[in-house]
Amino acid sequence: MDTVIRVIVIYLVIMIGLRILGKREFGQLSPLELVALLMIPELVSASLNLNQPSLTNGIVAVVTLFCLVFLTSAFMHLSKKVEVAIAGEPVVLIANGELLTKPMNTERVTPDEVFSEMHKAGVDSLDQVKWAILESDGKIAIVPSQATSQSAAQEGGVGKG
Amino acid sequence: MSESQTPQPPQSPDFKREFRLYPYQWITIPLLFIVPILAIFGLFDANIVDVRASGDNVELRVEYSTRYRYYMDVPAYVFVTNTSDAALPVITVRFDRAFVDNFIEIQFTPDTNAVTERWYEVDLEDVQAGETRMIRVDLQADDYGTQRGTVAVAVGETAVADVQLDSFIYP
Repeated sequence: MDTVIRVIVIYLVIMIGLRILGKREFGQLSPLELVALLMIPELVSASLNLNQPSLTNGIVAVVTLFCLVFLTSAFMHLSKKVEVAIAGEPVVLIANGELLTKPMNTERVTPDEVFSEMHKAGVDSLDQVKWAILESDGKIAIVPSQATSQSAAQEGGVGKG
Repeated sequence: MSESQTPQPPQSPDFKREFRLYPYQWITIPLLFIVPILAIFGLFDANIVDVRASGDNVELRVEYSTRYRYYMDVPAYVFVTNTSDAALPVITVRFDRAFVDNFIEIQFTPDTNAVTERWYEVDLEDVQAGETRMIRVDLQADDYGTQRGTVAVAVGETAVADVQLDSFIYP
């Protein structure tokens, strides 16, 4: 019974805390959010463990984490420098069909990974790619060249007709 | 092609960065911040206080915590002083079970001489004039909420002084 009440209380505290902070905080895994999501289980597990079961400790720890997440998020929003320092900047991996080996090596991204993302974006050769960008959240965004986009649009139109 | 010459995609437009919150966040975010601030100021930690009482020939002082977290160990100390000019053969210190039984791992030093339905009793024998004796009570918080009880001192069969203990145990 005691454990059930503890789980309910912790669950409500986390749920309300996430709701208060808003969608931005936990919508994607930026470094800030990843840290928060990794820490929450560590902090609350102590409160659910009956060998060291202070619920107060767990709640104070999690709420403190929420406050830190909110403060960091607010500073990141107010200052581009802080945002870049914490979340990093996007890195161009392909520019106008050319693989940029230096940033790829620095970011430890292989051509296979880039091509995999290109295939997901519906392109299969480098000359069809205008930009491939390693975004701050670690995902690779593919921007097809204008010719590729137009031909895809036309194919879509023919297909529909 | 050097890195500085690497073509860059169009940048996102700059905009005026402002601190804005939804109306409900103006209330709830400060409430969130209150919790760690109170914790920094020790509201969820042990709060050791000193309560005193004196009666005929005896002075009683109890040092205990008014706040516990669940399973927190904070001992209470009871100091009994013979303020008379003569030795007292037996001073009995009584601990209210209504308070003490809300804790676990209870250990009296020196040990109890009797346990009744209402009290844990510790006898201090042959207390000299002006002498102060100490009793240590090890307590580990167990029952949540406000716990109240009395520590009383009797010389022989006569109750001479008592103090009220009032502790809050956080879950």
